[in-house]
Amino acid sequence: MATLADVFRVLNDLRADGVIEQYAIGGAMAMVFWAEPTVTFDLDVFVFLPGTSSPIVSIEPLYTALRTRGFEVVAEHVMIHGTPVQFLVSPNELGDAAIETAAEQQLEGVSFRVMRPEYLCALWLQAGGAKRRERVEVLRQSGVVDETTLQRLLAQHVVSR
Amino acid sequence: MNTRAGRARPSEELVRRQQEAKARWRHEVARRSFREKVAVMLEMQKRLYPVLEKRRAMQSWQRPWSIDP
Repeated sequence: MATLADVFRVLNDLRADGVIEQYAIGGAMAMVFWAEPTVTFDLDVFVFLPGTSSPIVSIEPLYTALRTRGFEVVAEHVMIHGTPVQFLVSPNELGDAAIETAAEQQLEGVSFRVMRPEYLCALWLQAGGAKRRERVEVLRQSGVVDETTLQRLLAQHVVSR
Repeated sequence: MNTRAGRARPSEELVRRQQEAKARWRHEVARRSFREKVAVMLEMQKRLYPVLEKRRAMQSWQRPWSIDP
């Protein structure tokens, strides 16, 4: 059976082939990485897509590339080796910074990029909602958040605490 | 019968100890390997899915992942 490392290998291949410029794992799986297991049924992957002449980005070329590789697109998720992956185009400068500064890690010899805890917290606080605020607290209590960095990010991107 | 006003409450010291224990546990879990934590998450998916399925309509992609940790 495939493993999560196989899913990460596909992400790396997409980048090597120029289908995406860069990526970083975010969402609940990033919290699993930095803190503790939580239930999620999909894997959030934040991406930069190659530039086009249009100011509005289309995710269709990415879906096409994945279909070509044999992966099915289901309701804005792509089933990659049995794992529903949602590709999220970076929506703003905070998202850009989170992708750019992601930590490079290894799983079974496969490298992957995961957003750093401070950026996850800032993005969740920016998006708002009780569930996201709870995740911020879990990361903080896990001792993985650099508060100075987080406060700088919140001020820089005008995110209310 | 216990009224709210008369109900016994935990001491501040007990609450503090329990909060500290929770924080210690979170620190310990955070240091476990990613693979180990993914294994727990996959098990949670398997156990929670039947419960969630009874409560609400699940999307077609909302299934336990068919991968190994």
